[in-house]
Amino acid sequence: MSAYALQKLIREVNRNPVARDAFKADAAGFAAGFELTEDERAAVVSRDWTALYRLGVHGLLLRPFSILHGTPEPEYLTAIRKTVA
Amino acid sequence: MSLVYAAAMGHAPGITAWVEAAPTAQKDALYAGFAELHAGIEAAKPDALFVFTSEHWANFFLDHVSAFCIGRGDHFVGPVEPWLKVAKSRIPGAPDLANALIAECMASDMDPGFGDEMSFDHGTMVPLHFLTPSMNIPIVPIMINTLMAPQPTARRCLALGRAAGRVAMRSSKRIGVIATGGMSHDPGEIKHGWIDSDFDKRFLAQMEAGDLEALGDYSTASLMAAGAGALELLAWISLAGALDEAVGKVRGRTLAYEAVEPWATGIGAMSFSTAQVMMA
Repeated sequence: MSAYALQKLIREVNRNPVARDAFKADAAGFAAGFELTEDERAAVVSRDWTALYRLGVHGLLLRPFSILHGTPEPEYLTAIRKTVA
Repeated sequence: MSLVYAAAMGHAPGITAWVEAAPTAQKDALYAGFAELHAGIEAAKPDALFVFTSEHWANFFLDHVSAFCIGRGDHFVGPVEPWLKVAKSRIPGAPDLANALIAECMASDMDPGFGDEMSFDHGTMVPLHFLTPSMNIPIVPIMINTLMAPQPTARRCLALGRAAGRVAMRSSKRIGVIATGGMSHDPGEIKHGWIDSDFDKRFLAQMEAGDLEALGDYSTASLMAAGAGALELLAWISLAGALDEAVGKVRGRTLAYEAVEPWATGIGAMSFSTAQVMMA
């Protein structure tokens, strides 16, 4: 599995309330603290579940991350299934 | 001295967090199975438990991955999820027993990770909630990396279990063994919600019969065919190794199995005989 820094960012937001608030307030600013590719940066700042899944984010990181953003399960599943459609 | 108790069960968070989402008949059947496992542990009175388990990014991340991590803390805490509807608890550890297992692994040319601090998510807290609701039996958690490829092989898990079985038999205490995880499910992934009951029933039959050849033959790919979460069955396979080593034969009994779609998981509950098989 790759996308190390991207997954590190997501895990930090998932488990650390301070990071969670910082990301919600300024996603691009928060992401600036991580060495991401441009694709990764764009995907996480825009909360693009399809792109994040395609970039290799583990489902047990991405689904909790999407829940934090209020995404219902059917919407999440539709988004990630576009990667195999 | 003895291995006095063995049980395996699922740990889907819905079991405690979304109880009402499941059809009542399925929920009742599973809860009855869990209650029977609890009655068994009350009767067996183990002094300590080996818990073969897995986690969901609660402790470990890609900065440092071990195939196995043996918890030798004097206590552990959980659950990390505030929504699990399991009381925040402090669970006693069994550092001497953990150290004995680590030493036995090393002496057997296996090299597990170990750690003095560990917190538990639903993967460990759901089974503890049903089996030891007072959270008063000291445990040695054995975390298996089921999340990040490459995962340990089923044969390696059998060997890990055998090491635990030898430690149990040498111990002056009454030891129990618990495995948790599975069965078929693909949490957060493409096939989320899909359950492969045929796979689950075949696996349960192999555990009941103690078919160690079939259990050891599972590859990462053949487990993942039943969803990424089916890799958690490596914990059950480890338990089979422990039982075979300690009592001579795995003899399991399925107390309940349900494919619970609202919980997105096939869930089993199995008890095992720990009476020793006399060698011919």
